[in-house]
Amino acid sequence: MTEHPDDHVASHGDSHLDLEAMADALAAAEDGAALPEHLRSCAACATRLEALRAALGAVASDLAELPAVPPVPASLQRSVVPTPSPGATTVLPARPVASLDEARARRTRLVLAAGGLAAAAVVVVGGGLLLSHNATDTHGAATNAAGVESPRVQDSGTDYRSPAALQAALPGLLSPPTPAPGKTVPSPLHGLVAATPDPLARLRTPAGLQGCLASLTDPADRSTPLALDYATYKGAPALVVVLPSAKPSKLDIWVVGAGCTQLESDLLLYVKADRPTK
Amino acid sequence: MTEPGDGDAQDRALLAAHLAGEPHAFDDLLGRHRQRMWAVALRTLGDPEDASDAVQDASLSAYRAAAGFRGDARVTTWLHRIVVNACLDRARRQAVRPTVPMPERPPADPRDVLAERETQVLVQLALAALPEEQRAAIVLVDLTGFSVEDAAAILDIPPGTVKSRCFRARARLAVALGHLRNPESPEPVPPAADLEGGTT
Repeated sequence: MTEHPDDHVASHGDSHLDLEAMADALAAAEDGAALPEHLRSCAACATRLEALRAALGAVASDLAELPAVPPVPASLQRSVVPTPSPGATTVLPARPVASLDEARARRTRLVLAAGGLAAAAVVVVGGGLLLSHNATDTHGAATNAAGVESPRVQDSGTDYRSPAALQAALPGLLSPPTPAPGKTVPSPLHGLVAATPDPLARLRTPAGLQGCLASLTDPADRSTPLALDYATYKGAPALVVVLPSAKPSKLDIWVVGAGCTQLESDLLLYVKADRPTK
Repeated sequence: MTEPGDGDAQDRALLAAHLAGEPHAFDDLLGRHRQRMWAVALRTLGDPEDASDAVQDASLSAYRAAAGFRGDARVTTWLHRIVVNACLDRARRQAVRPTVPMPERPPADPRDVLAERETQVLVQLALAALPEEQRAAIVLVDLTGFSVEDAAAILDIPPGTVKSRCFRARARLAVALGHLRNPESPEPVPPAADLEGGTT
């Protein structure tokens, strides 16, 4: 039932209904409410109601033909964050909004291979995740069959303590050693996994990883992670996700805890870092 | 009203990162919503300069109020509520001067151009003449694609009130745009002038 807190003009007893009372009647009717008694007994008002109903369709057409909203002016692209004092971190300009075409183009090339201790490769296609087992893709896999770059996946077990530590580790995260064919890189966590429950186990499954990544990326622009590292942050189990940034010279590093899901990222740290030069 | 995949988790993560001191997080958050914030402001105020000022005011307000975000609404709802309030404040403070942007895709026939622009001018003027509360509702629902429920959360009113305001706004537009002339009607629909100053 539609509520009408502005009802003081919507009811006029036995007199003919005015425009707003008829508009309210149509709104209520859309919710399945019965028409006011007056409309059922007054042919004139019923006729006018039908005229209004038809006119609303024409209004919808007029509104649809309004010119498109122009792009956001450059003045609004500037950062609202106060510029820090000299020597502090530089404030970057705001990330430009990706156009629909750009987002569509990116979606078409979304192919992500990921894995973990299970050496499972996870492939994202159009926002969905497919699982394929491929041990040789686990570490240092550069491209998949489609020629799209896959993320580097590591179980470094590193205990990152600061953003600076992550920045320093970036070259290694992005270019881990490639194992010899048929071999896998031994994980420092392998022994631990056998002895104790793995707190990041859920994030090693395709569904768990997919959900977590969805909480970190825009639905309209699911960027492919460049690197994943199952590690710890200040002693807490953590997954390090390295994503491309809007600015090519930067990378977005998300460090999430074991509770990362599609609804809650369990964020431990987010930092924008300089992309290592090759 | 958080739904999987709607981006709210990332918005919350960015807000948390901002509050934790990450210098780029708030700009990244705004960047995700800026286009729609701009659309809401432009459609509400009509004038690009006023709209730009309103979005800038709203962005700064959100930046200052970030620590007070209680998390009981989606971040996008919170941001757009601030934008709408900034627009309504601005509209109350000054007379709105609607302007009509040029269409991006000009029709081939010049006569069509004139007819299309005439309609657009009339629609813009009719929108500008709506009571503020009705205009805010119809801008959110009909012009920027928010659901009635989301618009209700942004405007902090019940969904039924949003619906009522949208229907009343459409009815006023129907009169103003000449779609509601019924010669057979025993009592003509009140002209737009009679509706000015009416309650919402």
